[in-house]
Amino acid sequence: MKLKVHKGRLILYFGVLVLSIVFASFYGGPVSYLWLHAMMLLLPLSFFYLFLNYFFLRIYQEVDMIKLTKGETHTYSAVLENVSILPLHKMKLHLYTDRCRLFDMEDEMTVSLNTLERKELSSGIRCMYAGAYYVGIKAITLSDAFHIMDVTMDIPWNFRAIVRPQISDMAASALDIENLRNNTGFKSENKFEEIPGNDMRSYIPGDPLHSINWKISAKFSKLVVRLPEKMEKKTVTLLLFASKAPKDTQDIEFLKKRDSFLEFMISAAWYFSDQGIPLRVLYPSGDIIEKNILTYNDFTEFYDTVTDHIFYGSDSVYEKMQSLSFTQGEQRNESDTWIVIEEDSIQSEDFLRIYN
Amino acid sequence: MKKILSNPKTSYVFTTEIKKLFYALIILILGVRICLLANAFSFDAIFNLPVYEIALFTVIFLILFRLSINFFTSKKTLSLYAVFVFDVLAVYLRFAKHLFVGDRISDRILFLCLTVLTLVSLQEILIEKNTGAFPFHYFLLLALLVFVLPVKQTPIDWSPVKHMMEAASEGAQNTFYSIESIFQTKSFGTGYGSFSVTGGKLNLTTKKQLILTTSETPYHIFYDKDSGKRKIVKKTLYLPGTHEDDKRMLVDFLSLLHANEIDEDTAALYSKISEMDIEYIYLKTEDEIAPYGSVLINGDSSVTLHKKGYTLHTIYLDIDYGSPYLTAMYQNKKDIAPLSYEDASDYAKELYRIDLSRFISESEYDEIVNRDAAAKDTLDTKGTTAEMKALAEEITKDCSTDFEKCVAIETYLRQFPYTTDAVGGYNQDSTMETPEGMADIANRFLFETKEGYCVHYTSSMVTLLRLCGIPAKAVMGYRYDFPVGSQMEYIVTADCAHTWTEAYIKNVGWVPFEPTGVYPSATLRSWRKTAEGDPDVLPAYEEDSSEDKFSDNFAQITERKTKMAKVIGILIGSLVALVLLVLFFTVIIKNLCYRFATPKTRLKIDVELIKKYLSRLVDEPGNDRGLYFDYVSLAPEKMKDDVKKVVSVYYRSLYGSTDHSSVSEAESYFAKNLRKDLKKVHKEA
Repeated sequence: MKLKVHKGRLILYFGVLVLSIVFASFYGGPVSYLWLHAMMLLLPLSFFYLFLNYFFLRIYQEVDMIKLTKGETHTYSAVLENVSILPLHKMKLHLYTDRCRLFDMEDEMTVSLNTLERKELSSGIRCMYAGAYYVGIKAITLSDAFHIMDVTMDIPWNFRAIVRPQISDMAASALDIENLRNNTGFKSENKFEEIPGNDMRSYIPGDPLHSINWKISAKFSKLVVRLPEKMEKKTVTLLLFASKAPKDTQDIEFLKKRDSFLEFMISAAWYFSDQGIPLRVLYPSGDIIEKNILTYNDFTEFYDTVTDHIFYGSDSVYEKMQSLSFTQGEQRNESDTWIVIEEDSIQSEDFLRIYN
Repeated sequence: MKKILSNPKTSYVFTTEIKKLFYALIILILGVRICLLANAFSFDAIFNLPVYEIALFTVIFLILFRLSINFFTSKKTLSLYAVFVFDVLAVYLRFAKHLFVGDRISDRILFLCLTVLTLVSLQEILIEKNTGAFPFHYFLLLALLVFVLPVKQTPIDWSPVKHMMEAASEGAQNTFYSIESIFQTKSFGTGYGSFSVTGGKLNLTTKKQLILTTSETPYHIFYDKDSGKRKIVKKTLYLPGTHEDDKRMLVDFLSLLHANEIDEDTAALYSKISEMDIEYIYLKTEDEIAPYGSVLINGDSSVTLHKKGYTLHTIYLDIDYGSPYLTAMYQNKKDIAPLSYEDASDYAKELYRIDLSRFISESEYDEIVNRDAAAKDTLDTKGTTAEMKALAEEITKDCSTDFEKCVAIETYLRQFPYTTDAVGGYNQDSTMETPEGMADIANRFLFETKEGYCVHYTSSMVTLLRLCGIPAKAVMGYRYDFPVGSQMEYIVTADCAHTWTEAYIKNVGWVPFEPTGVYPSATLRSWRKTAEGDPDVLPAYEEDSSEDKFSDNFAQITERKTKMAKVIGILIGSLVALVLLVLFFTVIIKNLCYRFATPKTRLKIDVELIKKYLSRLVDEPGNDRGLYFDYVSLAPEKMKDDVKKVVSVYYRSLYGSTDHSSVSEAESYFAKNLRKDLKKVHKEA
């Protein structure tokens, strides 16, 4: 709760109060005492009235999608309801303008609610950053009758949006696949690459045209195809070294950093998935989680869940992650390529470390 | 985009109708009171009516009023501004016609309606600028609260607060008095002191110094022949710290009166024997401070340093030095032989009905008579200049007697303006302790600065008198102006500290003079008593003259400051008391809410407090994810299980099915004990 006192008006109020006391010090009876009592109660009662206003105010917010996507427009609505008989007068609504844009609502717009009145505000919403954070209405400001003080209070229930990052090509430039290709013979046990082998057989309808060995076919005057051989594919491990959550998880700088981190991470995951390269992702979600992305479905599952699942359960998990990022990457299996993405350095050039 | 989902109109209708009712009541009550004032009917006529008739009349009036409102075209504007007209009318009737002074319920209703509607109108006009009013519900709540508060018919009685503040002030002064000797400062403040004053800038202080107790009236009554009325003149008391010549003053005064054959009635016109008790407050001195002319001082002679609580009883000869009868005797140049002890005793008994032996023994009397009254040092003119000598001669050139010279010098000095922002002598070390110091202070005062305070005036008068060959000395003490009304005791404050001049006039003795122009001279503060048939030779007495003439008197300035400080003190004290009261009631209400809450609510409060205490046990409690189980790890090892148990019960009460969500008294009690234990741990930490 923030209390802003308008000093000039407060001084004026105390001036009138002092004059009322002086008046009542010379004259008794209702003419002086009723006014004095009214003056004395004016400010305390205002506090009480505003408190009741806040106590009986209900704000319900929603967006048409469960999970939003950064940069896309969705439909937002807020229902404001006064469940008491005491009206709310010119309540100011403070919005999270630093992280989302509400097209039909303005920051500090005023709304009055009469006895038991309910109003709905709706607008298009576009979130600026990927991550999980509060959007919509942030706080309200109520003023007393004579605008001596403004009381700003956070609303009791914020709307927490889960905003997925956009898949972009930002990772492609940073990650050169040719440098990551493993040529040492160590292959993945999970995914195989088909290459033409030396065994032959007669063509069976349905065989791909590129498997036909045209020279042998010409020699035998019938179509002969080369049987494919299975070759193990290279593997890549993506270590997502997220930063520790700050005390204020709604801090805009943190949100910006997390946005870049998420976007790079998802773009990198997409980059490898798209090329059919098996990917192992290590990221903190309470404890350190290992996720294998071998198929498109694996990727979409990871994309849907990772946005609001990155956090450390304890300091030890963070330390373990830190240790992994510096030591395990160097002691990796030679067949494996380690890519460490460090969130703390995301805005510098050192955020990416590749161990090939 | 804004969409109103539900908007009941009943609330708006209700509040506007209440406002109209308020106006109707104002008009009804004011109308009835004006009719009563015009004697259209009497209160008795109303009270004699049956209740149902009064109720019927009221209802009919209200209905008619409500119906008639529909005919007004600018109802909104009218409702905004009409209340101010009624305010003026009601205040006029209250103060010009003395209506609404009793304890009638109708008067309370009238002023309640006026107060509320005035606030409503002011709010809408000044704050909202006619763009919509603050909810009337708020003002209605205010009206309800104001109506139930008691209304006294007498003004606010501030005496309890005043007494409280005085007690606090006295406590502070006692503390300061006890430790002030530790913190000695170089600045000079008003208060009783020694002659080591330099005449530099003076700080005004109002520390209490003495309590005077006397049964006598603090004023003299005299018959003013000009107006033909009896008038009063306030008494002024001079209280020096030394009394070595006080007994001699009695001896000389008796001799003077005897030589002039003064009888008891005539002596009573300008002298009398008075008594007084004196108590020291914030004062530490070896001197015994008593009225001028004290012939008997009964104090504790075994005590050298007199401090707070020291009391003394004094009997003193109170003389009106401004009386024309007395000043006439001062002009007599004939030598007066001293009386013998027996004659003096008889004469004292005749004039004042006192036993002289009670104050002066025969041997002491003989010693006084044979001693040279004017010691050599009272004629010491060291440090004086030729310019000063010339000035003294210039002032006294037309005077034939010593008394006339004294008066001329006193009159000359009284013309200089008074200021406490003064400078001392040319030599910064010059003080009143030595003739050279006084001469230096006088020299700069008379010929350069020409403004100062009592130190400068007295130094100048003493120096000029000595240059004229008249023995003179400075006296240090207090000068106290009694208030007009009698009081149980009179407080002498530090700003009453004063120094004045005494001159020795042959055949008369030591006579005090007041050269400080800001204070009335002996003539102005004369008792103005005249014998039957004698004309009033003194200038006409103006009761307010002292107020006009001495408007820059620092005593008045400090009095104003004291009053202002008292008012500010009372207000600040009241505000602090209000804040403390609010805090006190908040704690009480919190405790009551907890005590009478259900076990489930109590558990909720306890869990929140447990969370708070646990958070404070560690330096960085970490990220609050809203899970109470996160806090279990913060608890001391032996309490972890208990915390876990309480949190489990709390979550069960929140999310459990109806059958399992209840909280037993035992569980609530367990949580309460855990909370208390954690509080202890927190305090120890």
